[in-house]
Amino acid sequence: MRVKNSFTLTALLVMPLLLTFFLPELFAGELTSLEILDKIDMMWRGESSIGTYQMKIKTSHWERNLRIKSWTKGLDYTLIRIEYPKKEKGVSTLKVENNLWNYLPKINRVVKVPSSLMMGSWMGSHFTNDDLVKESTLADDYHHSITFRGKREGQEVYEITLLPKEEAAVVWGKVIILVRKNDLMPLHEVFYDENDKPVREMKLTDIKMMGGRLLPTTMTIVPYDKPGEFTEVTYVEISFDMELSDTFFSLRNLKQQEG
Amino acid sequence: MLIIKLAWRNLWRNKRRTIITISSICFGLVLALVFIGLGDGTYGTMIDSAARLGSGHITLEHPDYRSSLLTRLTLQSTEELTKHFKEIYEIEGWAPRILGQAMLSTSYGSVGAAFIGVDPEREKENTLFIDKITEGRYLEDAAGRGVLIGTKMAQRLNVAIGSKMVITANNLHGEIAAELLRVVGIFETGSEMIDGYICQITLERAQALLAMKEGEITQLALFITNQRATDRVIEHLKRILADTNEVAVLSWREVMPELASYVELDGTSNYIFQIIIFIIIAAGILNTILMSVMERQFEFGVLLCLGMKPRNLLFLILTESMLLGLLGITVGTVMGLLCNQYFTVKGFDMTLFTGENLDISGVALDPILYADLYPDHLIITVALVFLLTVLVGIYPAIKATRSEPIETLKKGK
Amino acid sequence: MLLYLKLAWRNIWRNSRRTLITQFALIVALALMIACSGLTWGLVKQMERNATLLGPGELQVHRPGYLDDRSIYRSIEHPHTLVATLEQYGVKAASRLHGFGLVSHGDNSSGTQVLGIDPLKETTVTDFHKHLFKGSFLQHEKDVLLGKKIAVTLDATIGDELVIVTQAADGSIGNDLYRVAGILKGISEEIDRSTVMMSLADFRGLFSLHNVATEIALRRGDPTEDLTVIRDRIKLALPDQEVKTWKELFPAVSDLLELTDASIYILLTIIYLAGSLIMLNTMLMSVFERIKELGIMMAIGFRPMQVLLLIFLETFFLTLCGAVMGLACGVSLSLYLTHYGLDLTSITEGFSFVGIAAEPHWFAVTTFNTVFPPFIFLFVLSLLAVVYPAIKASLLKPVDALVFH
Repeated sequence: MRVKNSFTLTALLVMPLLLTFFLPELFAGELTSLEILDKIDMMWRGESSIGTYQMKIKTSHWERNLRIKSWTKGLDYTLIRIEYPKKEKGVSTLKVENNLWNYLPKINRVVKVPSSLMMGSWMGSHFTNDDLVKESTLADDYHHSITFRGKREGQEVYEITLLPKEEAAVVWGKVIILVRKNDLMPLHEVFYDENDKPVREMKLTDIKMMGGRLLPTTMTIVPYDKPGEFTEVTYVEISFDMELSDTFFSLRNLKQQEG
Repeated sequence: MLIIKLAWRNLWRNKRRTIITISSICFGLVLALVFIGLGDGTYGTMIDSAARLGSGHITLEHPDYRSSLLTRLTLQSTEELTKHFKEIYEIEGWAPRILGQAMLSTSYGSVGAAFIGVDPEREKENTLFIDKITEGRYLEDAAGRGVLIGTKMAQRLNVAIGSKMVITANNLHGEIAAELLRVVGIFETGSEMIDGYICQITLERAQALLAMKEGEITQLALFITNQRATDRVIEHLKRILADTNEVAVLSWREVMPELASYVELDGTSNYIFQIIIFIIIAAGILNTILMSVMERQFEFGVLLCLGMKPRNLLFLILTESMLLGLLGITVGTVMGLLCNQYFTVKGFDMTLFTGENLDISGVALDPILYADLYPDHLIITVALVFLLTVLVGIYPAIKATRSEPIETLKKGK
Repeated sequence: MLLYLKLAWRNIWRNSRRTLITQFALIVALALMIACSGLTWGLVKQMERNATLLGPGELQVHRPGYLDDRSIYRSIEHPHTLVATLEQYGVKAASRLHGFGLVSHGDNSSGTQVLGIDPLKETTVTDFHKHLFKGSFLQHEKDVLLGKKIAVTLDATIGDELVIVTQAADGSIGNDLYRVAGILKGISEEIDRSTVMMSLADFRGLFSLHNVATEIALRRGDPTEDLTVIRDRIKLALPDQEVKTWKELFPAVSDLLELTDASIYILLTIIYLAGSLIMLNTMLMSVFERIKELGIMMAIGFRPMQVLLLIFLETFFLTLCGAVMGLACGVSLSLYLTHYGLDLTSITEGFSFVGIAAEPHWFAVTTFNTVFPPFIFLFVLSLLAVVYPAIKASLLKPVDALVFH
C-alpha cells in the first residue's frame, strides 16, 4: 500500500502545479468534496517546476533562515539545494522515486538516507524526510465530506473533514481542510490524533500570482505539542513546465552545483 | 574367586570404615549427578526458551540470508518445505516467520523497530511471548492488523491498547510501503532490547507490507522435542531437502552464536567445578583405603610369609577397592536418580536468589531450574566415579605389596 | 595442661604416616576451596568491573533534569572547572558528550549514539582503552572508535573513512569525515550496536557546541571507599549538580550482579559440603582407628574426660598443621590464578549477560574473604567431627576398647 499524507512538503513543492486546472472550475457552482479532492489529487501528476524559497525554522533552542532552490518533476523526482546560509551552501537532497540521498559539500560526500531515518526531520524543520518521499492520495485514504459551507473570517469557504478509511496507513485520526470557495485555494489544514486532539496545523497564506499562477506562497507548519515552534516556507520565485529530463535528477547532478 | 570372597570379607571386617568410605563415594556421586542433572536441564531449558523466543531449534532460510540479513532473500514456498516434516517424528512444531526492519509511527513520533511476522495459530503452541503479555492479548486474526509491542516501545510512543500505528518499510522491490496497525497487546520480557525494539505482526500483514507472495517467508522455525537431537534432525533434513535448492538448514548454534557461547562457557565451568569435587572426593577415598592398608600391614606380612604371591595381594587390595566402588556407586546411583527425579518434577527455584528476570544476550530465561539427566551423562559419571575409586586404590595396593614381610612381623601390631 | 599439650603433639607425630594421610585430605580440600572461592569471586568482580569501568564509570554527574530526556541543551557549563574541583576531592573525573547521528561507510549506514570523550581523562576513569579488539585508542584529530557490531554493520575496519551527519545544536546540519582508529571488543548490546566514540573537541565541532558536557564520569581514587559516602561528599562539593552512583543509574544491572553473587554462594556451598564430607570421613576414621590405644590409656588410668581432652588437642594440632599447609597451597594456587587466570578463550568467545560483557578469561582474587572463611570452616568442622567418636571412645570401658573394631 502506498503511504499517504496530505499537504506537507510534497504539497509545498507541487503546490504550484495544482492551480492550472482549477481555473476553469472557478465558476462551476457548488462542488462535492470528492470533486474538490479529486481536483487536488489530480493535480499532483506530471508537471515540472523550478523554484526558490525561504524557509524559516524556529524551535525552542534555535532559529534558522534558509534559502533553498528546488527542481521537481512529478512526484518521483526532486532536487533541493541550500543556497543560504553560507555555512550550509551547497547541501543538497536528491529524491528519485523512493530513494533519498544527501550531498554534503563541506566534506564532498554523498550519503544515502536509510529508510529507518525517513521519519526524521528534514534539515531540522518540522517536515520529515518521509513527507518528501511519499505520494499523496487523499481521496484513497480518507472518507471525506464537506462539513461546512459558508463564511469564516470574512471569506466564503468549504470545510472538508477527512476521516481515515478502515485500512488506511495514516497516523492521523482526522484531518480538516479549509478551502476558499471562489478559487479553491487551500487555506488551512489541521491534523488530529485519534483522540481528536490537534497535533499539527498547516496554514497557507499570501495568495498571489507567481510564475503565471495564483497560489498560496507561504506555508507554515505549527506543531501543537511544541508551543512557539514552527516552520515557515515562502516562495520567492517559481516557474513551471520547464524542460527537465529524468536524467537531470542524478547523483552526479546532486554533487555538481549546476542547474 | 577366592580373592573376591576374601576381599568381600575383608571389607566387612571393619564395617565402620567400609561404610564411611562407601558414603564418601556415594555422596560424591550424588552430588555429581545432581549437578549434571540440573545443568543438563538448565541448558535444555535455556536452549528451548531461546529457540521458542527466537528462530527455533532449527531454522530454514535462504542460504545468503544469514550473512546479509536482506529482507528480499526469502523462502519461496512454505508448502513445499513443510510437507516433508511429517516424516520426521522429532519435529514437534514449526512456525513461518517474516523478519525485517521498519519504522513505527504515531501522530506524535516514530521509532525504528524490528518486526516479526507470525502465524498466530502456530505461535500459540510454540512461543513464550504469550506468557509475557502484560496488557491486552496475543495476535488472533491471521488477516488482521494487530501488533504486539514491548512495554518500552509503548512508553516511548505513548500508545495504549487500541492505538493506531503505521509501519513503514522498504518492500521487496525497494519501494517504501506502509500498513496500518493497531496495538492489541503489550509484553514485557525484562530485556531492554526486546521490549523497546521488537514487535510482532501477522504473517499476512507482513506479506502485504513487503509485497511478498503467498507462502513466501523469511524463515521457517522448527521446534523439536529434544534439543539434543538437533544435529541428527538437521542431517536428516538436509538429505530430504537436498534437491530443493535455495534453502539453508541451520541449527540454533549458528543462528544464536552468543547463546551457544554462553552454554559452552557455563558447561565448561560446570565441568571444572565437577572436577574439583571429584578431586576432593578422591582425596577422601584415597585416605581411607590407604589407612586401611596401613593398619593391616601385619596381616599382609603374615600372608606374604605364608606364601601368597605379592601379585595376588595386589589383586586382593584392588578387588577390595573395586567392591567398595561398586557398592558406593550402586547406592549413589539410586540416591542420585531419586534426587534428580525430585528436581525434574519440582525444580530448583532460583527465585530465592534471583529476581524474576534474567537475560543472556537478549534472550530472557526462566528462574526455575529443572533437572533432566541425560542417560549417557549418567553412565559416564557413574563410570568415572567407579574408575576413580579403583585408580585411587592402586597406590595403597602397591604399597601393601611392598611391605617386607619380616620387618612388619618384627614390628608386630 | 602442658603435659597434655606435649602428649598430644607427640602422639600425632608418633604415627606420622597416619597423620600425614589424614592431613592430605584436609590440604587438598582447603586448597581447592580457596582456589574456587577466589575464582568465583574473581568472576563477580570482573563483571562488576565491566559494568562500571567499561561503561558509565562508578559515579556520574549531570545537570539536574538531564536524565529525563537526555537533551543536549541541558548540559553542564564549564565542565573543566568541575573536573578540577572533583580531582581535588581525590576522584578521577572525565567529561563526556552524548548525541545522535547518522554514520555511513560507503553504502552502509546506521543510526548511532555519538559519544564524545576526553582522551586523556577518560583513561583514568574507564578501561575502554584496554578493551580494544583492533587498532588503537583516540590519538589524532578525527579518530573514532567503533562498537563491535556497528563496525560489522558498516563493514568498516581500521583506517576506513566514515561520514557522520547530525543535527547540530544550532539546528544546522553537522557533518564531517572521520577515520576509524580502533574497534572495541564486546561490551554491552547498546555500546556494541550503536556507539561511535570521538574526542570532545571533534564532538563540539560536529555539533556546534561550546564548552559544555552532558555528563561527567567519575571513578574513586580509593577503591575501598564506599560509593554512597563518596557520592555524598561530592554532592557537597557540587551543590548545583545531580550526582548518582552507577547502581542508582542502572538498577537492573546492579540487581543482576547481586543475583550472580547469590548463585555463587550455592556453588561454594556445594564445594564446602564436599570438603566437609572428606573431613568428617577422615576424622571419624582417625579416632576409630585408635580406640585400642585409647583403651590402653584408660586401662593405665586416664579418665574419660582426659581422654576426650587429649583427643581434642590431638585433633587440634593435626588440623592446625594440615590447615596451615592447605592454606599455603590454596593461597599459592589462588595467586597463580589471580595472575595468570584461567584462559577459556579457546572454548568460547564473548557474549553479553544482561548487557554486561562476559569475558572467557577468568581471574581469581585472593583476599581475606576468599581465604579465611574456608580455613575457619574446615578447621571448626574437623574439630566438631571428632565429637561423636571421641565421646564414644571415652565412654567405653577399657576392656571393650581393647577389643574394639
